[in-house]
Amino acid sequence: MRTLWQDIRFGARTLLKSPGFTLVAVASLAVGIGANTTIFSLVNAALLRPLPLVRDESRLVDVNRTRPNGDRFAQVSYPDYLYFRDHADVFDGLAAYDFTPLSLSAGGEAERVRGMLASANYFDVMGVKPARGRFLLPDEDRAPGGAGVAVISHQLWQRRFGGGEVVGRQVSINGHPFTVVGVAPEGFKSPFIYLAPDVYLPLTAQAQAMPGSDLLGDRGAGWLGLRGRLKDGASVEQAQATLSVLAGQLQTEFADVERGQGASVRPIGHVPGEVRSAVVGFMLTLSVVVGLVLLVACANVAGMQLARAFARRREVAIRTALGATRGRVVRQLLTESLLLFLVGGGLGILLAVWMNDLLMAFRPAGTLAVEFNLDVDWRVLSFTLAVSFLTGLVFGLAPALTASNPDVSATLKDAAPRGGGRASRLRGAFVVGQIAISMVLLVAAALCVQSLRSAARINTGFEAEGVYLATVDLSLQGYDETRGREFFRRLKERAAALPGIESATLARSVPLSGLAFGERVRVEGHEPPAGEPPPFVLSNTVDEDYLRTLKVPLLAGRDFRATDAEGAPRVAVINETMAARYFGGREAVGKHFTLLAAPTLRGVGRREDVGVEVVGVVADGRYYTLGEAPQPFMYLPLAQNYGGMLTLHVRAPKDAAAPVLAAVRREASAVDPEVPLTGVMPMTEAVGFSLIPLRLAATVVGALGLFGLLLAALGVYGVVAYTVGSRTREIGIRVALGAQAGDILRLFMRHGVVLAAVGVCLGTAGALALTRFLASLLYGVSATDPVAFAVVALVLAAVALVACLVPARRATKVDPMVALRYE
Amino acid sequence: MIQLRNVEKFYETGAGRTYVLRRVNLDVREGEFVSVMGPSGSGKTTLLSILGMLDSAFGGEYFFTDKAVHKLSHKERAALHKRYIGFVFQSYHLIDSLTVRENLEVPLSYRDMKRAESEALVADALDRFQIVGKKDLFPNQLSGGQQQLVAVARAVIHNPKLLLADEPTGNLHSGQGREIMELFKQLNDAGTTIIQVTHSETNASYGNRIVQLSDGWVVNEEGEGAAG
Repeated sequence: MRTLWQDIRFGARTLLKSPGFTLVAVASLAVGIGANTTIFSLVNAALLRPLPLVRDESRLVDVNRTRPNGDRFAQVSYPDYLYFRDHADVFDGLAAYDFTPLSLSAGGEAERVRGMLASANYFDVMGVKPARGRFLLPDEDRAPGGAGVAVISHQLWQRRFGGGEVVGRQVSINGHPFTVVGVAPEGFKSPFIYLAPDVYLPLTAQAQAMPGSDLLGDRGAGWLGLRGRLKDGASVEQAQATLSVLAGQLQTEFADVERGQGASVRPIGHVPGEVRSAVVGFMLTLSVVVGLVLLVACANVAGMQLARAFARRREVAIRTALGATRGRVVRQLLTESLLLFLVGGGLGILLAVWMNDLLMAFRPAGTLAVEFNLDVDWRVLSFTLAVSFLTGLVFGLAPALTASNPDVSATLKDAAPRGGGRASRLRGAFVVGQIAISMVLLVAAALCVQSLRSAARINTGFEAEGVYLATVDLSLQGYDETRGREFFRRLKERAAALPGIESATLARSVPLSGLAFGERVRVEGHEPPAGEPPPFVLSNTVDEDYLRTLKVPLLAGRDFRATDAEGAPRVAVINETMAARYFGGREAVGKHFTLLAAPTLRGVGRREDVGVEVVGVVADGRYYTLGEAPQPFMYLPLAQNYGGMLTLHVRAPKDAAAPVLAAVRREASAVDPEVPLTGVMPMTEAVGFSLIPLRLAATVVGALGLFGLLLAALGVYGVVAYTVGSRTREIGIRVALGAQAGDILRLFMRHGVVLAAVGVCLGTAGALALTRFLASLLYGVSATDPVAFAVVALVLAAVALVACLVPARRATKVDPMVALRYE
Repeated sequence: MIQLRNVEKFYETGAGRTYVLRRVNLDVREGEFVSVMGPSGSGKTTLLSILGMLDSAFGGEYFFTDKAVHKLSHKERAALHKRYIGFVFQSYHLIDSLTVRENLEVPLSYRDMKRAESEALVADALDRFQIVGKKDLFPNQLSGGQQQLVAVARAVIHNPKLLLADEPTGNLHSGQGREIMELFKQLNDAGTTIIQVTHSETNASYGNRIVQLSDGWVVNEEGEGAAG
């Protein structure tokens, strides 16, 4: 123990004596370990952290339906939930819930909030206690209407009600009166750690929460997530067996709707089952990228340690001559390495705290908002400690083993060969590895950047610049179709009358914003092969002036007009691809096709087949993703296809975002102050949605790649500088033999250039193998784009050359007489 | 061939200037074999490095084959050095990581020479110095005498007019030392001008003139062609 303490003290002193080395090493390790800690915080928050406040999480299970089509994560209908709840004796309680946006007003402006319909036993099953008042009572969750009671989140209580007395207060939710009976505890989330509802209503308030649909009596409509708390002693397998039996009973009793449906029970996961593999895959990719960066940093530090170890061979030889065993020397050197990595790890944690804040800036806003707790907890700390310790051990071992085995007598006589052949080769290998990894990261970043540039050049088929948006969801406000139509007519009129507005229109969806609708169609002469469903065509429901507002080029026929009203013949405008595929091109105008009836859910869906006439053909555009191939698309007139959620589009001067958006808010409020607006933003921002993953990838990989490049440059510099230092005498000899500055420069440059060339070759091979995983993110550029590869290779080569040049130039300044006396 | 006029060399120290060479005047004719002698610290090696154009920070005038070395640029001086001068050191200074043959190639590699010509010269030197059998060995596989033999071969491989030797036998036992000095004598007889720094009277006797240095001053010159 005493010797260990000695080792630590001596190690700390040695590190402090070389502040330059220690600073560079600790800084590289801090970034490398910090990046890994950041990603681990994300993994921790998304997959590992326990649900806050929830009692005895290990006894909670998720219950889903299984379908004949292989879906194992299907949701459960209300009648089935009641059957399971009342008959499964393995649970202390089985709760049901569903997330739904709500419109809340409590005196003043209405706002859209995150809502949850929850069974009365929901909080009990989750095992939490109210912060104020009480939770829902079983009686309040029996009769349709939800007894007009609501529970709110701690956060909403603080934000909207200032933390004052709220129990017993009346609020309006979707236009219906509700009484707040309690406040959920602070920090309580939901079955998913990153989703925290603002308002909880009883399940029986479904009709008020989701206007236009009645799901409580519909056994065929699966919409609920179930979470159960197992009884003491009950296992997941027992619960599974019980639920399977109950599902079998339902199949017997309700054969028509329950056919082939089973039940699955599994321990809870923070990520919904159906997307779990995607989330884990994403986390894994991020972990690999930051792992590579850590590898570069470690290789760099190991290289520097090797150089120091060689320079310290005399000290080691003296220690050995004085009786130190090899193990003792290795331990001393490893202690130094561990100290270095642990200090780097400590700073890495601080860096991670800062990077976590940066990461949160990429969170999508609005009702999609998710809440991640990226705080550093004991898991993150243990992870960082383990990473620091293991990397310190692994990457300290090679230098320690190399240094601990000197030819003692030769070293003491100063007759040992200079240059340390094996150590040099090892350092060279480390540098090659660093360059190769940097190349992979930089190629990935270059491909992302090139994609962003080509994305900016892609012809989307519409002009987003100068268009401003605001979305209204009247379905939450209790508006029927007649009142809704009137609201939208007035909103559009008032917006169009605003000064500076060129045109205004309404549409059901915004292209490239991550939301697209579509319908199945039947076109005569284009029947699908037997057994195949009819073709599915993406669509948008739009008002008059849509084509003009978005500057969508009309190629044939006409735009929608006021006469395309509800009772008039049904019409559609289709795009070029659809016209070419089904109607032989522009002659499509005047031809007919059929929109097919679709099953309705939550009040949405076409109830019967509808024949429509093509009245216009427009140019192709991009509708769902920028990278998509041209595909059939149709516009349907709003007057003939009403929807309660529409987005107002106005065209105004390009730089007028703030005043236009403020004016739109004012006009909407003038029509009905109770109606909340969402997605109030320039259209350029909305269509940028599809580029978020690419921007994130470009930023993260680019930053890490640049960091890798910096480390690789330091590595090359270190190797060449070290070589110059250890070959000073040789430089003297060569100058005495007639070498000129250029000869010496070439000698040392060659060394660095060979390392860089090998690194670039390996990096190219690595990038070719790995960038194809990026392919799905890229637009208009291949994952093996030769330009990106060439540019990165050139940049790396140039940086490596400069990194060689600095120490190599120093070599040319060596005074031969001094060098030759230097023994 | 060489004229030094009032050559001085000093270092600035805390206590003022410390002179290493004081007003050195020296003439060396082509074909001479000069030995520079003197106690340790008398400035012998410094004089040799100035003569070898490895040190340009000196005062006074230095003419080499009628060129004013003290006025030449770094580049011109290096070119002159490369063309006319060969060096032999006390501790051989072979490059550890190169074989005997590769060590011999080093000076040729700095003299724009065709590969065939360079190879021929190396083969010739290996043969002339009877070290063909050692050509693929590394320096640490040779004895001191063999290493110095290689160093001499390397110094003269490009046929320099002037060979400068700094205690060439200092690390060798007497038999090996004698061989090296015999070799120098033969080279001198064949026309190479030699200036050696030595402590040994015996070695000095191979030459035809001795220059004595003391505290940076030339205190005595004896032998053929001595100035005074």
